[in-house]
Amino acid sequence: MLFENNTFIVLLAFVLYITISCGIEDNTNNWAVLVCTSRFWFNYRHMANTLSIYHTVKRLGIPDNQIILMLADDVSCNARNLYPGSIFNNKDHNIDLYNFDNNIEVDYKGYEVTVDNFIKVLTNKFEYQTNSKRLLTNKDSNVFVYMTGHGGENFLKFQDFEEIVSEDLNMAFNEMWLKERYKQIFFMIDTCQANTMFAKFDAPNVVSIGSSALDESSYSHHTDMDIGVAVIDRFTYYVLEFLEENTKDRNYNGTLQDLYDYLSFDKVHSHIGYKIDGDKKLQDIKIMDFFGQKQQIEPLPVIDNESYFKDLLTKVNHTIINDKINELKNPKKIITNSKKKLINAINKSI
Amino acid sequence: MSLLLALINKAVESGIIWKILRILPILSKLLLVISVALIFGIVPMDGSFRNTYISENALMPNQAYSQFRETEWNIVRGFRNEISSLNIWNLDVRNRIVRNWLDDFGLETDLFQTDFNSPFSNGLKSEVLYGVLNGQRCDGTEAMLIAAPWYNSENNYNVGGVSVAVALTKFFTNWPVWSKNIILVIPETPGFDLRAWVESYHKDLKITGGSIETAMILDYAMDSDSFDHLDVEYIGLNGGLPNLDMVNTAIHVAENEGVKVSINGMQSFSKPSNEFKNRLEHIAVGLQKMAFAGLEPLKGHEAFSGWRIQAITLKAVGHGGNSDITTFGRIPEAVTRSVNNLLEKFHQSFFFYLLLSPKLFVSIANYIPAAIILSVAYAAMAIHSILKTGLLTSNDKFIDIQSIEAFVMYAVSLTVSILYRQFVALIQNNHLSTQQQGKFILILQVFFVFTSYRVYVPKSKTKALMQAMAFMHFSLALTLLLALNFGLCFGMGVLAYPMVLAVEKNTSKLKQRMFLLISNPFVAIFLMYSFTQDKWSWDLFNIMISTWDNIRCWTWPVVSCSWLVSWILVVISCNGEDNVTDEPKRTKED
Amino acid sequence: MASFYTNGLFIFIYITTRYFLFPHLLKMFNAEQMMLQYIDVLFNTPFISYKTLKECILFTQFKNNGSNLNQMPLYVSLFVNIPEQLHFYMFALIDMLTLLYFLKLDIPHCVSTSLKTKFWIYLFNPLIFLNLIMRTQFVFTQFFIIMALYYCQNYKLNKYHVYKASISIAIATYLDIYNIGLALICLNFFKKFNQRKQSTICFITALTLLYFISYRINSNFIDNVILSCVLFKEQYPNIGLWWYFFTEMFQEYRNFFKFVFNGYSYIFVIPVFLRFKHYPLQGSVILFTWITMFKPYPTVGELGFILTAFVSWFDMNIIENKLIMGLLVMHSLVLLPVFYHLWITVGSGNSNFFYAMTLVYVIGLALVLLGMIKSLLYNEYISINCDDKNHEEDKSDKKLNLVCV
Repeated sequence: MLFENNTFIVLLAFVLYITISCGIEDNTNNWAVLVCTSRFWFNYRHMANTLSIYHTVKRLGIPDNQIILMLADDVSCNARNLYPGSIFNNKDHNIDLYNFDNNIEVDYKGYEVTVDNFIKVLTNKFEYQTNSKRLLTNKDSNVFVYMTGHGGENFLKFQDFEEIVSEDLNMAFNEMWLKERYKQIFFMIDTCQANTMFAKFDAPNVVSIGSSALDESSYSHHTDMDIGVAVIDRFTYYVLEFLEENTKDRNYNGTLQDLYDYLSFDKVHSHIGYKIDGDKKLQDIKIMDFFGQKQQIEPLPVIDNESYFKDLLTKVNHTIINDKINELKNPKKIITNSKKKLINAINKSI
Repeated sequence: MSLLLALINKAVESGIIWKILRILPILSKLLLVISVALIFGIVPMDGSFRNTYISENALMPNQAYSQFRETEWNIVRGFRNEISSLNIWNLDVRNRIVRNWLDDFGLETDLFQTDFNSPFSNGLKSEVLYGVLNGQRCDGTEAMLIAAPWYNSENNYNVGGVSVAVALTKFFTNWPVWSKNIILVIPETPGFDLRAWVESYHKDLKITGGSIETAMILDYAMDSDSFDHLDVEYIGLNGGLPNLDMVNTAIHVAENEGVKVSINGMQSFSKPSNEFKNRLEHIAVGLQKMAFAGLEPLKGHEAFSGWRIQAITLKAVGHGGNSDITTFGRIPEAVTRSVNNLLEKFHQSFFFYLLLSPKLFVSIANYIPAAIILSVAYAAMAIHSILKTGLLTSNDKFIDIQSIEAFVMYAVSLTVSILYRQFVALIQNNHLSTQQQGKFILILQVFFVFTSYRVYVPKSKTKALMQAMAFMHFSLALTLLLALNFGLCFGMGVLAYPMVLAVEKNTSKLKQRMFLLISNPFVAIFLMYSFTQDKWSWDLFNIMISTWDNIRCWTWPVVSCSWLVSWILVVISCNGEDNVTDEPKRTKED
Repeated sequence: MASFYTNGLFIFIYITTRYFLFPHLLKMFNAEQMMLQYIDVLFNTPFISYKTLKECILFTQFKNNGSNLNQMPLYVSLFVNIPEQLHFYMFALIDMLTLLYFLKLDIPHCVSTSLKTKFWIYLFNPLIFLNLIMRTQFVFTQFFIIMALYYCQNYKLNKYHVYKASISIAIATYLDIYNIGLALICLNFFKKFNQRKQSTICFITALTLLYFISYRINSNFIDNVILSCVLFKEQYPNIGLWWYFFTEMFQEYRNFFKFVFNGYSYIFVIPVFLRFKHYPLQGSVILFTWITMFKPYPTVGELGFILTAFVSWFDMNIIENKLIMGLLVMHSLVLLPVFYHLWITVGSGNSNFFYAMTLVYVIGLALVLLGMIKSLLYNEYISINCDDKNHEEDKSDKKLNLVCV
């Protein structure tokens, strides 16, 4: 009896601990940054990868103004394209990615896809830029970052004359965390030696999945013999397959672990890697946290009007002014040394 | 620095330098043997060569399905029937009829008149039909070329080639995927007229289509429906080779279509390709074709050498076989589709290589040491000759009558060689046929070897100085040719080596004369060329000069300005008795 | 020697062959165009080539402001009023005068070559001859340098020779700014301070006057000629060492490297001036070699002058590696146009081949320089430490050993 009581107490404590420690409140908005870093005709499949993910993300509910799509976009109207104005991701030509619903919005096109612009998008450090091209996230946003192209050990090639290194990307994510620009980031990368890109990430709440390990290449799935190029990569193909099969309705409760298990070596022909910060696990993170609109709305208990509205303002509607008021009311603790060093480092690098 | 000085001092003290100097002739022969062994022994061995691969990722050969198939079957055969019936007509009639067809397809066509007025070209006049297909969606700054001469290099009527070219162009007009223009050229022969057309294209041709990136010459000179195998020829004039990617793409595409491929006319697919002997034969034939390019009847792709155009010739060989004429059409179609994918010029793959089989190659680093060693061999003989003059060890003045004689002979020999064709034209009868002219030249060489001693016998110092200058001149010429035309450089170096054997001491007069005779440029090239062609080519001299005049093949100037100079000097220096010792005297303290 | 000079027939043959026969032959065989195509890179730079001169003449005739003329204005105005067919004969005249001054330039001690030998060396130097055929500006620069050296050497004969020397070296500096170091070396010829002062003042006055007149003719010349040369604004591949660096350098570092490279060219002026003050003739050749190794736009014409001076004014017996020197220079000169042709015309090679050959050429030049310095140092040592008896013996057997292992 005593033993059972003890276990019960321990169990209760454990549950309480979990609910308190995992006190991640639900996010309220989802954003996506989709980057295709190659150009030219023979990189058709990277363009198709990015556009397929774009369509999936749109289908699952993220609106266009919350998607930043960076694409060189020189493939669909290329003279070599047998189907001008169309981009396909499968040789059965079922979906025309370029004409889907007659609206794709490319935010950064052609030579605007540069490392500079990409980092500025993430950290929102523009001098002048329209809002439609900015990532206007806040601390309750989940951001899905997808990158595809040609990569190598610790770097990713941008448009044939630039590279971005994993340290720069890590710095950008850390800066985003300090500026409270995200709640969670899901980083997916489909290039050769992709796992090296996120091996050095140390920003909190960033989970990454990559298509191939060090010294491994990522392979294309199949070639369209009509068009004469490979039209999609294996990793992206199976990710799309997984999402299409499972998320037909948007109430899918699967976790990243399911996705990771689905992408086996037999399918993708390279070793998938993942990284998650701290001691969190993949099965704790739901996929639909990143894709699609928030479906659940938490009804709040209504006590009386004034306190209801006050609660409403403070709890649900985290506007900037309220945050500032809260800050003034309860000033935050002094930041630790390591963070300070981090900020100094970031400031110096500007 | 002091370490280097210490080493040098030690070397000088131990007398090693003098020892080396004494054995310089032996060293020279050893270097020759090493050089020949490198090319014919080491390079074909396992481990020196590599499998061919496509360097440029954008090419993606065979990723697009070739559509030149059943729909085009009847069209090709229809054109072939018409063209074979045109055999009896003159060139202008044929050109006009085909021009009508091309106009119907929508090409911009024109006729280019070539005109040659060099005395060696017998007043060649010809007409070249060409047409430009502008790609519908491209910017027209670059072009891909397909050529099909009426008569191929063996003077057979190229009925299959012209019909495939015309049908292919008609097929291309239906496709909107071209990012470059397509040019079709139909010359009478793949020789002078095609080259004149290319030269005019780069100057002032009426219709042009941008800079030509690649060129394919189609040669299917048989009336049969099927052919046995495909022969890819790629060795151009003056040692210019197309980018290895271009050759690899064509071979890759052909093998994908199930066609057997051979290169340079060697049918090695019937033998296992991992035999040492097979590779050795390929090297020998490759070097021979590089050296003699321009002397043999041109196959077509040589016409494009020198303008940064990657040109190959596709030749269908053998009546009756497994492959069909439309298969032959699919090969240029797939290559064109592949080259269409490119955005940049060919720069990724090698420009200097030797193919050991359709799928094996060696790059320049493996074979250039052979040529460098050959050049050093001659330079070593030059140093040896300088030592023989005794200038280093005696206190003679440098500029005395003997050395002035040597310089004068050098100048005379230079002048005679550079103006050799005028010289020969002076002393020969103009009514001789080309073959008799060739025989006359060879007789002239023999005459010179055997009778020059009656005219002028130099003294010992002059002899040695002339030999030194001759060998130095030749060594520098070989250095010049190293990177330009490896085949010619190697061939010249090896064939001229008997000159060195002739100047050695203690060779009998007869042996000396024989060595000098076989190291004569004209005799040596004539013998070698006849051996490779399997017939006596007496009109070689005329061919060499006419190719220099008409198609700018540099073999004649190179041979006359380097080999002939050295040879004349060596012959003169061998006149009279050899009464000076070879050993350099050790009279100075070093 | 007198008979040599007054041998009218001999001179006549020389003049006709060199200045009439060979150019005519070249024109007959249409070789000029071929030569221009293949060895242009060796002899021509944008600042000294004949093509630029023709362009400048054209612009001057059309009263252009001259916003990008790469030649000195006075040099252009020399040729403006002369019809084009006679241009070559101006160069021929200068070449002959150069030969005359060169022959008269005697070295008081340690003569290693006789007059005849020097004549033949100058005559048969292919580089000098090709320089003449290509009609580069270096023909003039060379003439003024040799004239200056002659007048400096013989300043005691006539009191005006000091001024003539300064004026000629001023003109040489005017034509090519990198020759200013030679002006300093020329001061070493004069033993008295007074003469040095006169010479300096004359030099500075002459140079200022030349610049002033040029400024009046065409005010952009400082920017177009001098600054373009010194700051390497015309980025052409040539046989110098600079251009390859600037193809790959980031923008921020370029000014620093230009400063350092220019420093290289001038850094040895004062050391040579101080160290070789008793041998100003050889010292000026040494400095000239150093400058030509590190100039932004060197040419092979300068090598022609250097080799002629090397063989005539230095004691060749001392140098032991003449063979390697000769082989390196010959091979690099043969391979430079080949690799340039392979890179630019045929497209099979790339710039690395050409630059590698440039490096070999510079190593050859460096060996020549080292040979010069060694010969000079040995001679200095011998002349200080040996007594006169040995000295007489040395003079008796004049021999020229061009090849020595």
